[in-house]
Amino acid sequence: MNPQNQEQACRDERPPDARLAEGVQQMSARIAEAATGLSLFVAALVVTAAFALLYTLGNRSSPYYAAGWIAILAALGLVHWGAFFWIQKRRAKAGLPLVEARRPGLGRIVVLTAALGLYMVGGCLLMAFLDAYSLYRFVLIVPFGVLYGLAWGAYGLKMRQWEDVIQGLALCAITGILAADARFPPEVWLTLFAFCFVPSGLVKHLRWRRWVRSLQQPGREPAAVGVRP
Amino acid sequence: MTPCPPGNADSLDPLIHESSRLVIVSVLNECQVADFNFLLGTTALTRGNLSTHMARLVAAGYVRETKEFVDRKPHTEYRLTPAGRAAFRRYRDAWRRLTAGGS
Repeated sequence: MNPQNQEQACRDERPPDARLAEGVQQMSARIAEAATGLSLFVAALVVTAAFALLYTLGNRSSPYYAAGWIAILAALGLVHWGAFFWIQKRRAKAGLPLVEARRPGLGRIVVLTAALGLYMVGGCLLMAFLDAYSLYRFVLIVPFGVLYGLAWGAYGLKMRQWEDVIQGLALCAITGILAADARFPPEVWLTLFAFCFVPSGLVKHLRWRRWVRSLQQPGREPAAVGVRP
Repeated sequence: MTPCPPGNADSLDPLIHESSRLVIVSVLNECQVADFNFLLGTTALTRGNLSTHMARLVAAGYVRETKEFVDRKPHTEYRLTPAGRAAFRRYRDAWRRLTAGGS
C-alpha cells in the first residue's frame, strides 16, 4: 500500500470518539452562542429604537447630538451584558441549563482595542484631507459595513448558522446601497446596523428554546450525541 | 495491509482519551463556563456517570468546580482550567499527528 493510501486508511480507521468529539464541540459552541440570543435581541431592539427616536426627534445642530449617538452605541455592550446576566439569573432560578460562550482572552481584547484606537486616530487625521461625507463613507461604513459583514458571513458559514450568513450579507447590501447614495446620512446606516442584530438574536434565542425543550421531553434518547453511559 | 504507523500513542492523555471525558472536555473547551445541567444535556450521560467523570477531571486539575445555592437548590458550574485547556490542546495535536500518519 502506498503511503497516501495508508494515510487515508488510518483516517478511515479513526474511532468514532474523535468524530463525536468534533461534532459535540461544534454543537456546544452553537448552543452556548444561542444562550446569548435573547439578550442580543433585547439589546439590539433597545438600541435600534433609541437610534430611531434620536434621528426623528433629535436636533442635529445641538452640540449634544453626536455625543448622544456615541453614548447609545457605547451602551449597546452594557445593555447586552446586563440583560445576559439578568437572564442567566432567571434561568438558574428556573433550573434551566446555564452556559456562557467562550470569550476572547485579555491579550486579544487589548490588541483589538488598541487597533480600534489607532484606527480612530487615523480617521481623525484624515479629517484634514477629506470632507465629512467621504470620511463617513471610507472610514465608517465601508470598513465596518462591508468587512464586518463579510467576516460575519464567513463566521456563519464556519459555524453553519444561516442567520449569521444572512446578517452578514444584509449588512454588506445595506452598506453598499447607503454608500452609493449621498442622500442617506450616517444615522440611517447606524440604525440599520443595529437592526441587523434583531432577527439574528431572535433566531438564536429560538434555537436555544428548541434545545431546552428537547431536553425536557420525556423518554428522550439518552445518547443525543452518541455517548453511551 | 501495512498496519497504521503507531506514531506516539503514549502522547494521548489517557484522562482525556476516554470517550465520555473526551466529549465533556470538548464541550467545556467551547464554553467559558457551563453548569451541570448543560453538560447533562450536551453529553447525554447519566447524572451518576457525569458526576464521576467530573470528579476525576477536577481531581486532575483540568476542571474547576464552583458550587453555590440558588433558591436553596444546589447549583454546580464547571470551567476548564488553563492546565485543562493546555492538556486538551496537546491531546488534539497528538491526535492530529497520529491520524496524519506519523509523529
